[in-house]
Amino acid sequence: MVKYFLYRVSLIPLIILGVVTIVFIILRLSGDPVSLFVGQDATPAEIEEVREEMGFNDPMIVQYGKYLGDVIRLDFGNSMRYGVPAFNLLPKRLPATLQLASFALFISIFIGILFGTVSALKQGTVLDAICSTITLIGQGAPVFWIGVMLILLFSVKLKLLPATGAGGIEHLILPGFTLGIFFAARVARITRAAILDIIAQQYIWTARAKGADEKRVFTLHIAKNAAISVITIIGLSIPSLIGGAVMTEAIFNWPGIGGFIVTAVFNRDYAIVQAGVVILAMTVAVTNIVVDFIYCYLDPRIKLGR
Amino acid sequence: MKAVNGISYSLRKGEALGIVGESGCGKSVSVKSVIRLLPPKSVRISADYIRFFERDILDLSTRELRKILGNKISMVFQDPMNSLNPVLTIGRQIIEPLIIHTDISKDKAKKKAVELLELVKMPDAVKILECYPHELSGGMQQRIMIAMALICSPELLIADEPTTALDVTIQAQIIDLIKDLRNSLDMALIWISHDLGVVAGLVDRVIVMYAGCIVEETLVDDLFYHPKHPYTKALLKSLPCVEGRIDKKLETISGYPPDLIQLPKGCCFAERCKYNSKLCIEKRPELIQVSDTHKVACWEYVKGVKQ
Repeated sequence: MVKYFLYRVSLIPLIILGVVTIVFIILRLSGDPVSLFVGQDATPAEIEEVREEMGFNDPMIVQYGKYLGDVIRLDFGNSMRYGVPAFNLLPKRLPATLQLASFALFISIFIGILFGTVSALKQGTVLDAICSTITLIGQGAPVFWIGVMLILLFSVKLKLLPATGAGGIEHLILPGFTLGIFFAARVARITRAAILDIIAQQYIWTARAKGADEKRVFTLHIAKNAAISVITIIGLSIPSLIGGAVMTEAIFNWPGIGGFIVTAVFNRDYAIVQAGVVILAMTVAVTNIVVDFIYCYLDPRIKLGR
Repeated sequence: MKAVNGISYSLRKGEALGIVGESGCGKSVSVKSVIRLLPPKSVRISADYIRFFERDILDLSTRELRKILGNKISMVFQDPMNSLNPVLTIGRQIIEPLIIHTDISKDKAKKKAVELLELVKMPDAVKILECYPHELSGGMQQRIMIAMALICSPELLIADEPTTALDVTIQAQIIDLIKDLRNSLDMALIWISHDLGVVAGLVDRVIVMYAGCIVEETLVDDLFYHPKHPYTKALLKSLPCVEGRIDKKLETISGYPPDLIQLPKGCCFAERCKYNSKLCIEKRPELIQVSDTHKVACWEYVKGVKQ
């Protein structure tokens, strides 16, 4: 088990390498990279100057080598807007994003499992139909639409909750739900499918043949087996959750790393974008490993490693 | 669809009854309906009474019925791999009936589980408790199912084709095990099978079912040596004989079982029966007593009717 853990951790640098390489390629694919670093009205001479200064005239392999060297030293360049190393600006904004993503995750797990379970156990009834419809809407509606709708309803019309910013719990609610609803819908659908699948299994009848009441059948037999599928989908959702936080942060002006990156994209502050992407990739890689280990604790049929 | 089309039988304390018939004849469903182990929304059970000792369990509430299941009446299913919960240890699953029906402590329950595993001749009983179902073979899993069924010392054990999913040598072991257990515990047994050979050495009485009806009911030896119903006779004839000629063609029963949604108004077997007559096709024969211990549902045995 420990060996497998170390093996997974050792893969993280590889993942980061992949991510930064993709960033490197995309930067150069989308036209002249220099254009990101100069203003709209720069003269050809100024452009050439910047090009030489930033090393864009060097052969590609040299550029790549220098780039990797910089990345290892966490040097992503200086932020154009703030003038300081980009990397320094980001870590302190990460907690806000994690707070938002955690809250959204908590909501999506709670609501998702609740809706999914009710739907499955009351399959075919009106309750099932209602839950399934809400779930469908939740999965179909885009984050920005939900966000804006919630703001319109709760902030503008009802004046119950603040529309933007951070501070107390009341600031967390709207962005949290906006981000969480989509994932809640996803969790609900998987939960419903998993429970329905397990209810039909032979071992559920064995449990009933032993005299187990439905409560026991559910908590001991159905739930533990359904958890496998549900945890899987939650685990797979976490990277999306962290990524989706980006849009949510933009809508609600939430002081997290995602919103910061979005602003940097609009400001063409490339260094921040680059650093931000690497940090997000790192977060995703780590959470994936944690989820994998939780998963193998739940299902004894999984044997990790060789 | 009538999966079971009017059956009635009784079982004495400590007696072993075999229910045989081909797939789809209703043997499993009829037994499961006695203990209501069928999806309630999909089935309707109707009977005059279902008596267990002095109680009519037909009208028992679900809660009351649950007190009996696993406790006084236990069941072993056909496919042991799918009948065990894959994410719980064997130990936890075996002691479950004790936890549900008694106040016993977990430690005492575990000790009892080890006793039962030894009773069903499982090696390394203590280690097995910590294993998961997928780590064991089919034969071992079925022994565990049996141990689980016996842990509360039931009055009746229902075995629904418990050896069908196992290979022949393991089948023989399980059958021997059940024979030994019956000798030592005073337990009634209902053994459902489509395999006549299996029930031959195991049970006291046999019921033969076809298309949801009982067609013959008698002592096991009588069934094999003096079968009366044409279906039973045809079944026995179709058994390959080891001593016979090698080039002899195997006997079959021509035709197909009737569609349970549209049962014929006469005898269900008439269409495939060598001796069928107009009466057989028109009217369904009742199960009648032809001797102290032998019942059959066939117009051939109703005096004065066919001649």
